[in-house]
Amino acid sequence: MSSFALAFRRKSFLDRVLAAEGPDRTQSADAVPRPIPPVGQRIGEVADRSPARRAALLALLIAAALLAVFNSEGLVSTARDLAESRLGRSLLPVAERWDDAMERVGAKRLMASVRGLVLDAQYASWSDVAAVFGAGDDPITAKRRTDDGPYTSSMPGERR
Amino acid sequence: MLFPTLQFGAFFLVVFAIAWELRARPEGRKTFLVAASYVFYGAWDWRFAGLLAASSLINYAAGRLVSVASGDRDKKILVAIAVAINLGILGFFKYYGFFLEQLGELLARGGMARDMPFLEVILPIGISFFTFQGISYVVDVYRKEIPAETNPLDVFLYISFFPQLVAGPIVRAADFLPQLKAEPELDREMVAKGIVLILLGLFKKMVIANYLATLLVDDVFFAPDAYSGPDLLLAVYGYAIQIYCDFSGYSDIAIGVAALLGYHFKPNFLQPYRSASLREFWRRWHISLSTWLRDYLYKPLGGSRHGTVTTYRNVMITMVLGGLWHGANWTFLIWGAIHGVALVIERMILAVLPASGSGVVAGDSFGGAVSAGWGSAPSREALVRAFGVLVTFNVVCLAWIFFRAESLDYALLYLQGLVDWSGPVEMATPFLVALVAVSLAAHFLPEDLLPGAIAWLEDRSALTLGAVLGFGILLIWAIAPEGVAPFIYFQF
Repeated sequence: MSSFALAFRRKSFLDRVLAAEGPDRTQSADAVPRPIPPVGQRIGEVADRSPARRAALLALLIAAALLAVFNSEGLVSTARDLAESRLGRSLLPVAERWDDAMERVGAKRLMASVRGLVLDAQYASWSDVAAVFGAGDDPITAKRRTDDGPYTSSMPGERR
Repeated sequence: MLFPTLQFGAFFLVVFAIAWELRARPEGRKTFLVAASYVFYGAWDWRFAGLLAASSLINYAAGRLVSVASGDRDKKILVAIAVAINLGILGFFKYYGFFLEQLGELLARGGMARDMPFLEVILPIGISFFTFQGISYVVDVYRKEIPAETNPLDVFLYISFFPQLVAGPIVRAADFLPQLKAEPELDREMVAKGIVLILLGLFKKMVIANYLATLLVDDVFFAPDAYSGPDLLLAVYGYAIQIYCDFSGYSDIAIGVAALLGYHFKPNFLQPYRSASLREFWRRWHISLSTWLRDYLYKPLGGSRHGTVTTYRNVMITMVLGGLWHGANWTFLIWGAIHGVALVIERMILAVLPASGSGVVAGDSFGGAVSAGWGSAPSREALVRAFGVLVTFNVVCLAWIFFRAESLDYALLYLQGLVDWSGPVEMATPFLVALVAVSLAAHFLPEDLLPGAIAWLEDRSALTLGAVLGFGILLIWAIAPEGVAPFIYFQF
């Protein structure tokens, strides 16, 4: 309710007053207080462009936070890449501790499960595809294929 | 600093926040963006930051001199000097070794072998792009399309702006410099456009291009004689998709990053493999280069204004030099020549075909729009268009073999192998076949799909935008192969 009231008040009163007054040429744009949109507010609702900027920054920060939580191993590898520098050396233990913490809370499972699905698709053979459509191997051949591992005769990985 | 890395993510977050805080101080904002661009460029090799600065300074000075010169002759001389300096820098770094090698071979064949003064010249990243932007600025000033900049900061930012610095798109001075005069603005459409293009570009590069490169293309092009015809065919189709996704992915990210900083760049690719003619292809592929070549090379040569033979000559010169722009190698030259010959043949065919009907509407990069067709029935038109798409795609793929091959010998080996279908098929796994087929099919999706996605996203809240961006990147990261391969166009 409060956000609706705030939006209504801004739209009905504040914007009209600001529009009637016009921009203050004596002040820089930085000196004009600009409202920070709350999380969940639609960007660009008001005529002022600053909400779009702030919302974009907020979106970037949310994305960064999601990456830090669910892709903590990426932080570790980035810190390792920077390990030659002093900053990198100090970052590495922090990144590793963070990665361990994310492992404990189970946040890394999301990426691992998606990777597993992609690996299955990557190593699928034509008979696996045929099996999906009901024309695949008999159960014994299928089991042998599973026991032999994920490689198929058509994978370039075998040649290496 | 590569786009698909956390380092770039952190860099951009800082640049974004500070740049918008400085929005009301134009000079401060531009100075900051120039400094950020040099940090971005210096992350590869600081030694070449001086070259970038020198290029910017030369073009700024040339623009000023051209604007104050009195007679047209003096202006022309100044433009010629500026273009020669730009091309001289490009030529030294890019073509010195190649031409010296060719000269050495030529002298040896004539019985006049000499020790050539070879130098180990390292190619500065992005030199082909920022050199062309510099030329574009000076020529546009001469043509009075833009006024000469009095503020050197604007020229420095135009030439070094980090989103497009190392692999384009080649932004035109007339498009970018006027944007620096107004206070930058960011509206919800630009935020949505930025996010959608960044995600799309990352997906194209990290997932499609990287899988095709590592599982298919690199292996097959490394030893084409070890594979059968079907594998070679799949690999060349795969390369067509890989180079498109690699390069257009970079362009998408560059355009998206620039949009988030408040600047508009024109699109660089428009589903090129749906083209029904070579002319249409060049209106959809690397648009910033093809229009640059059209405006600064093809048209000054006379374009299509001086008769058929001269037009064909101009097309050939433009395409061969366009090929050579990619690198000092016979394979690039042949790539350009194949496109040139195909464009000339296409023009010849269109000249003898009846102009009525609209079977194939061929947009023309190097002249006006052309249409040709046989009959008026919709089904017939669709058939003709489908045939045009098939022929165009395969001609483009034929040229890609030379473009990708390690050398001319490898390219010929590849072509020989393509006709031998007797060996085993090793590479056509369901995953790779699906990747190539789906990526090709995506070229035929409605062209308004992307604007639709942007329109949908622009009405969303900041939380939704953040979730889309964050989970989008996570998903791409999860399904992409490990490691970050450099973009193909970095070498040009």
